[in-house]
Amino acid sequence: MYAILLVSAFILFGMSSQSVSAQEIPSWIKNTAGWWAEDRINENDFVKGIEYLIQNEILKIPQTQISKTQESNDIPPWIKNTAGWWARNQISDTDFVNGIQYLISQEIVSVTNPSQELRESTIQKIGTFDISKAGSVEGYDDAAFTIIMFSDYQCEKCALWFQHEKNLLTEELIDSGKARFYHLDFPFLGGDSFLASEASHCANDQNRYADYQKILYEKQNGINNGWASHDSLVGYAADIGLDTKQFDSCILWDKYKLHVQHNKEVGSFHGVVGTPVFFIINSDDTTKKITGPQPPMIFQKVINDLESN
Amino acid sequence: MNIRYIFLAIVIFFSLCLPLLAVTEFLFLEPYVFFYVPIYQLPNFLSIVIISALTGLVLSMSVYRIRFLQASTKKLRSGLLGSILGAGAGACCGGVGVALISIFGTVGIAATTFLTNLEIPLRLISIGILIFTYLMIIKDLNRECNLNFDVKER
Repeated sequence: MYAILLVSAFILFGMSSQSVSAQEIPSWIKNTAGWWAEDRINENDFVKGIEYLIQNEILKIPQTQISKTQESNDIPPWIKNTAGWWARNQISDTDFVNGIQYLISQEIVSVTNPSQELRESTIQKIGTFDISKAGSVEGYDDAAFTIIMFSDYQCEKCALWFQHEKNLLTEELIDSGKARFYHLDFPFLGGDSFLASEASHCANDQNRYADYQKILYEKQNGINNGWASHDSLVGYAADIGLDTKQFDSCILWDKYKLHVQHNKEVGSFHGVVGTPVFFIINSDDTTKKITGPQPPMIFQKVINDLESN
Repeated sequence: MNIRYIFLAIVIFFSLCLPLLAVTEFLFLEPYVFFYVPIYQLPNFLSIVIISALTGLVLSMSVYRIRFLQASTKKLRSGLLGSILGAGAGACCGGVGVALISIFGTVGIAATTFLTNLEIPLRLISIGILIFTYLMIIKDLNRECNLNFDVKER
């Protein structure tokens, strides 16, 4: 009898935990739901954001059948109320998910998944480094060497290197056609580092990655003390003339959260623990690591050594 | 002049200065062993050298006082405090900062944040503590040994 009860309990526990995992919602999504309920972001941004989160499997919604019953594509007010209540923890995750499922059933939210094949085709490797999520690339396509920099925008040494050594490196190795330069995020100094990295990718949406990166390194001023807060990042975007509405929405929705995470994982996989760290890769994938903010002459020497081998 | 204590001061200086220069990324180990002080980092570099030199001086003098004059360890402790404070400041992001983060997690991030954001003030406080301790030790030695260096020099 006890055995049957125990087995039933396991089955019930298993079923309940399965239903929870099917609707796992990262808690930070609550903030955005709350902002929409408070009219800090508009309906269109909310829908786009939800679509992005579902398509990238950050927000997992049970499979939902399309059965359109309402004519317009407007979100019914009760969904907005639900979002607000959910943000204030007045209703459960399941209630919020029901609301999203309703939007999917009415085709207000589209959940077409980009195919795995398409995702895999975007993997771009140099040596063992996946640089497909790098912000931008400097240099010529036919350069024999690739330099990959891992950095954290809150790291002072990274900022100093960028301001004082990078120009010479660009002159000697990148503009001369010897090397290409990629920048990958390695945010490890707290929340603002991650946010700053995401912001740099948001600037890339407007083709201003390099300008935004430059201003971030210029403004660098300590760790988690506000210089890289959400408001400051939007302020820098305004300073260089970006469309701040688009930029703000991009940060609010964590559009590039996965890109930044991916880049950090690439770094961790290659043994990066602190910043700045550089890797120089030649055409036959031989890789040399340069740890710390070293001057361009060291890069030149590594390249000479790789050429002579 | 006691050669053994001068030697001790030199050993303390190098054993503090070299690791600090590596941690603060003036001394690189990969891909080549390479020493580099860019002009924009000169104040930072000098502060490390000053802290290491003062630490060598203060600690060797404190050890002398403790061994031969049975003095208290109070000044040794304040000397150590100054050195640790100076050593910790600005250890981010290459070595010690990362070690702190990985070992202590959130507390490590908080400590690294504190040490990095207040790098210059902490270094100055550290130098201040070391100079103060040095002057106090000189004063004590003058009194305890009943020596007057000015008279002796004449």
